[in-house]
Amino acid sequence: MALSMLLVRNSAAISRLGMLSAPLRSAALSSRLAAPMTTTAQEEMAKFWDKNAQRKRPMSPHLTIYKPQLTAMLSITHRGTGAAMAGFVYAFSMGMLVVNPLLDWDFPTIISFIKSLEIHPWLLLGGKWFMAWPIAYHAMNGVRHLSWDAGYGFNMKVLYRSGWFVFLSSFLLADLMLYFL
Amino acid sequence: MDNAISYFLARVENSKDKNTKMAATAGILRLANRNLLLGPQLMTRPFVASGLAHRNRLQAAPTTQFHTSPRSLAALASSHWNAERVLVLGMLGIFPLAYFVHNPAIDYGVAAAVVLHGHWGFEQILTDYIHGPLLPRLSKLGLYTASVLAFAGLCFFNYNDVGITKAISMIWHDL
Repeated sequence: MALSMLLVRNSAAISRLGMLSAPLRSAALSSRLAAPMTTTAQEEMAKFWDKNAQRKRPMSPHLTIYKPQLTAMLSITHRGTGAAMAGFVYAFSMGMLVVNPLLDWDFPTIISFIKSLEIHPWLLLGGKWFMAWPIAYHAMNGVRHLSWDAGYGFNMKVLYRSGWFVFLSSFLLADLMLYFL
Repeated sequence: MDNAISYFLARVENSKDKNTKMAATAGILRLANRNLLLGPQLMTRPFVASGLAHRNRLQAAPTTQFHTSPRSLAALASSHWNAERVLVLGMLGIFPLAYFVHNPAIDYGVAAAVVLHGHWGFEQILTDYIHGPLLPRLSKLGLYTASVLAFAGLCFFNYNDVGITKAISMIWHDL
């Protein structure tokens, strides 16, 4: 009885105590509580990896046990196509920086060389398709990403429908690029 | 009830040696445990009255303290995210344009856009998969070098050679 009266009379102080879990506001309060080291997200992440690496802990299985789902497969394909295309551009660019001064090759020279190989037209078409599809897929999935950034499309049905749409349409778009462009 | 708490409180405050203090604290905590069964509201008063809110350095805080990054760092990360989206929207416009219009402005624009977008993409891949004290820094350094060389190479290609738009046209139509 007396306890509950004490509670009521001191309720303001008690609720202030509850506020202590919020980010600290004053140095005085901080030193009074003698809190452990405060950390940023970056520090916390680094601590996680350092701690587990130091104790030589094995990593939990992930790719070997997780069911492949459309969302994850499309996501890694987005990353893969992007990395492949950028890698190709970087390699081509740095290559030209080397072969042009050294071997005196310019782009028409390279084109003539490829023509001289007399590659079968169907193989050439296949090669062009393999150049067209990654950009078609990456661009379409990129738009899907942008719609997420705008806040749309997270509903599971919409997510899976947009995913299948992007995947299947990328093939169609690649074919259109080959035919019309 | 109140008497028991006052009794233990007095013991905690007035005890000279550590053992007495600990025993008195334990007494309060036992009371607190009893109160826990009765209801959370009854927990706070004894806890506040016990003075355990002001603990010494060796005792852990009940909550995890954290601080957020300084405003400048957070703002940089936020504007980087925005810049990535702006670049992507720009590319959605410039790529179809590059098919129809062949001139040096588009060439250099495409060169800059592709290298910047690729660099930022590679950076995210590195951040995701490479951890530790040294490897991330080395790989980021390598990436910066590669991106600078790639951009230099594309500018060289645009200046001394046929240029990006013409080159793609040649691959697509002349091969």
